[in-house]
Amino acid sequence: MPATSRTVTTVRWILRIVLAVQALGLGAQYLWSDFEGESDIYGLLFFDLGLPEARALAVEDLGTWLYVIVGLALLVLPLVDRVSRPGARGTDARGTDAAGPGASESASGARRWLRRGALSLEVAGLLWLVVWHLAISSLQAYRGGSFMAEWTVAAHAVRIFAPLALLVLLGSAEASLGATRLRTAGWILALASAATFATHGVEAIRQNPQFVDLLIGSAEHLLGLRITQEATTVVLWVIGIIDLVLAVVVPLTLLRVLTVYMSVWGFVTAASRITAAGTAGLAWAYPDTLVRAANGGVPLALCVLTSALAAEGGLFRKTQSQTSQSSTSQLPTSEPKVEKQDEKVALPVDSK
Amino acid sequence: MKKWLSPWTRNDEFRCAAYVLAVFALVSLAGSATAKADAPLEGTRPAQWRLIWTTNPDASATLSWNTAEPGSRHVALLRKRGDADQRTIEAESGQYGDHSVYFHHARLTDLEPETIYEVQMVSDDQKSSTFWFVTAPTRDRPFSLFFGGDSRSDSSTRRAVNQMMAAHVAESGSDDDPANDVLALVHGGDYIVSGRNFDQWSQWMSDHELTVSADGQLLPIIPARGNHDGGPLFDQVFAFPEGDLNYYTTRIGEQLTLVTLNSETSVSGDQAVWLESQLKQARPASRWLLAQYHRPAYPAVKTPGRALLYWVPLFEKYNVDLVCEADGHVIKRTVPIRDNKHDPTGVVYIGEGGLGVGQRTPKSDRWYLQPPGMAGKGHHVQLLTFRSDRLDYQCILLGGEVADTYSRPVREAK
Repeated sequence: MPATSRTVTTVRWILRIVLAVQALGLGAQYLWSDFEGESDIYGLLFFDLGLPEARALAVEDLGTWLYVIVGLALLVLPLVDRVSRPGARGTDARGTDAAGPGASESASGARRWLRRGALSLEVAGLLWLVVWHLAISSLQAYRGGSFMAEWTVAAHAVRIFAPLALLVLLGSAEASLGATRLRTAGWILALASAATFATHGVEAIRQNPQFVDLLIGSAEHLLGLRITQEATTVVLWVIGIIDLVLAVVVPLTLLRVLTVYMSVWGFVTAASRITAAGTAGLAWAYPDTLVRAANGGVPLALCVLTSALAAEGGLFRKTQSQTSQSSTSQLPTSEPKVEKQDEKVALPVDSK
Repeated sequence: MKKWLSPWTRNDEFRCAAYVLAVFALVSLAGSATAKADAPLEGTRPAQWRLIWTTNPDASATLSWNTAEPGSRHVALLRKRGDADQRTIEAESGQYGDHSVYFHHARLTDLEPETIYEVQMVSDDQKSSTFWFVTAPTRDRPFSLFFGGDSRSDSSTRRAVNQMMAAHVAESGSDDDPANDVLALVHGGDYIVSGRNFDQWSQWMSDHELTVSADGQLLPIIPARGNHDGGPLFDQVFAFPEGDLNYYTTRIGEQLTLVTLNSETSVSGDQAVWLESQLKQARPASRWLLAQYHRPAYPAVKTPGRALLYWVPLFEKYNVDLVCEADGHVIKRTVPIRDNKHDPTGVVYIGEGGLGVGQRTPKSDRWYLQPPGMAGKGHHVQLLTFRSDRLDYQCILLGGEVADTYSRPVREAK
């Protein structure tokens, strides 16, 4: 498998894992943890629109269960591609069934339908993840009640747009992936990371009281240190400035070292929900950490993608090869002939 | 797949970025809802009055009102009932943001405890009716307080609850049992949906007029800030200095210390240090030790607030008797809690807010709501009666039905 294909496959798997963890976090928040609550979707339906409570809860639960199922299915659906593509068990490299040409034709048709079905599910599922999280975040912004609530969509950008990036990157590892799609995914990951970091940066500079408590609580539980609120003011200023600088510089430069920092910091801040709460608060803090998996996961995906993007001239510049080809130009593939045959059914499902 | 993703493959990266930004912009714009206000504000006629208690209600109070025009002179006329002498107190005035409504705060100081005062608000040549209020006692006598939260969202229900409280104050104040005298309303926050929306505040202030009894008795309010009360208007409505931290201690004689906390700012930093200092002072001095704030440590529907980590250990250390919480839109009374377990020596958490907001179904399966704790739903206010030997609690539903009762004896001195 060429290096670029391996990179894209890795990015897909990072995003799949991030979305699965995020889905588990959302499920814990709104469905099954000891302190599960309701989102602003329930709030809108019940408090603002006057829907009966049971119906509002049913809508919320249904949407969230669907979100969880899709999140977990993202880890399973690539297997469908694996078992149904040419060369899989029971077929030869061209997809011919061992039982003979007649059986081969029908088996090939079944495989096509299987892969097409899996693809359809995956595309619909990813769109659902975008829609449902966008609904939760935008309603949180609309209904207010938290620090800088009106910025919620930007703060949640990595969670909302991670599925979109995966959607753009969907495709068989050996299949062609247009440079434009690669770059589009890069833009989505970069802008989402930038939006989340910029918002958190502003929140830090404006001394989001929750951030103050996360710092004080984490220092106490991890280091046994009691730091003052005055000290956190300075620390949050520094954190905020760094976040804002990264939000501007990373999409422009795609410097790998900066994306590594973003990823590490994103995971650290997600984990701070647990470290600040300590063991006593683990039962209600862990969903908050899981649902923030994309805070580190999306910059990590961007970090891995940077090499592939660099080969294409970065986010802005088009390469000579791209300008001379159509927008559906192909990346190197290991099995061009077989893939050309497969292009007819165009089943962009993962494989390893 | 190619067909489905064709817009992405055809468009260049700048189109993609523009699309993403457009989604952001649309969603951000959606966050500006407004509510219609119907407050009767005309010229410099005083309206939307409220009496605010904070630290020393036996000797001070703040009388606030609004006018539609800025006016030039705003004063409160104050006298003890039966006295001929009248004090004129100049009000501090200002404007609510860029709205054409003006607040006036008259700081009433040097008051005598347990005394009836009559007040009139005067803005230029416009005078309000004469109202009256009673200052808090300093002597050891029984009394009552209302606690409630979450008067947001539904103005008509809020008005009904306000009228119920006014009727209760008038009725209980006229009987012979001083324990029934309701001194004030302790409000746990979330007055309105959006703290930056003045129209909603204006409506709330008009509705709050209905807490005044038929014969003109003002019901003082002891306000806490809720998560929907963000922004500067809260301070302007309740006469706090600009940028105030909104946590303070109210002492009523030697009987009660009530600590009002702000769960919407850092709970672990300076506020936790301050809380410990207040509790340390109060525990030996006061018979009853209470705290109030908005986001629950032991919620009946939501995730625990940060108070659970930083305030609850202090409540238990200093043996707070009762903690009043809001935010959940249900009725709740927990079992006494210590070390996160049911313990008869522990702290009881009540409240969750029912002064007007729609009521939801509590998650009654949580361990701290099991009997002898309680959880339910219904618009309500909670009545706390402080006696020399016990604290009585009642949850009164809109309509007068009592949904829950509880008593706890005075803690034995250690």
